[in-house]
Amino acid sequence: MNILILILISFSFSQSENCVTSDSQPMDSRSIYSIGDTLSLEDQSTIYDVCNGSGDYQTEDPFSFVDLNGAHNGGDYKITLISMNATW
Amino acid sequence: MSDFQEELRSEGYENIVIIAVGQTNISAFNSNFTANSDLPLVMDEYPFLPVRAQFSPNGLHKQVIILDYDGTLLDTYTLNSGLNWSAKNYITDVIAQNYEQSILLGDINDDQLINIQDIILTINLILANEHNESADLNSDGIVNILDIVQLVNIILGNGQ
Repeated sequence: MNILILILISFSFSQSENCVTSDSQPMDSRSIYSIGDTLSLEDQSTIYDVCNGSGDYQTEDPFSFVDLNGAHNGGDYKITLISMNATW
Repeated sequence: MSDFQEELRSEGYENIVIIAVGQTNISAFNSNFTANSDLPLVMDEYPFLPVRAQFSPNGLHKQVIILDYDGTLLDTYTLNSGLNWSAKNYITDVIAQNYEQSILLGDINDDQLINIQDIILTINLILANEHNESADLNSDGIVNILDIVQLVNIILGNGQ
């Protein structure tokens, strides 16, 4: 029983670790975009961690918006919906 | 939102990607999300939260941000009452207004492929001094050698 609990705790800990990464460089100055603005290539190229894998992304894969920019990924154009889900 | 992605695709909007954004400092939300959704969840790094900072610097939450194929911010929608009928209609309208041009840039002959045929057609446009929005890849109002270079790079997979 104790072993089972230990395994469950370890599993849940490893899952949450996937969602709490800190490898990226801190950024304290960002461009602020309004409707009609195009994200700079630098901002599009910023790499984020994928916490929950789905579709073309696996958990812990890198993600950047330039992945979805057809002019930079071989012509695979996508409209992107970003759902800002987190509560703050 | 993952259901909405399926709805959009069933309506013919295949080239739509929905990305959810969480925060590295809200592990409870992230765990709950991963247990209940199959959308990719991208981590916004605390404390600077760069994704939020560039789109919602005033701290609005539950926003949907719509980006065009080249990273242009098309619109935003705040989900005050969740992803209801009104929200879906609004977002779908924005997509519909921008969808065709999004996937056809560089696809001069409209065959859903970007290849040597599109280069030949673009050269013909240049020689005839004609303009075509799909051929104007850098959106400078002129179809010229710069668009050819960009087209070649797309075909070679080198971006620009």
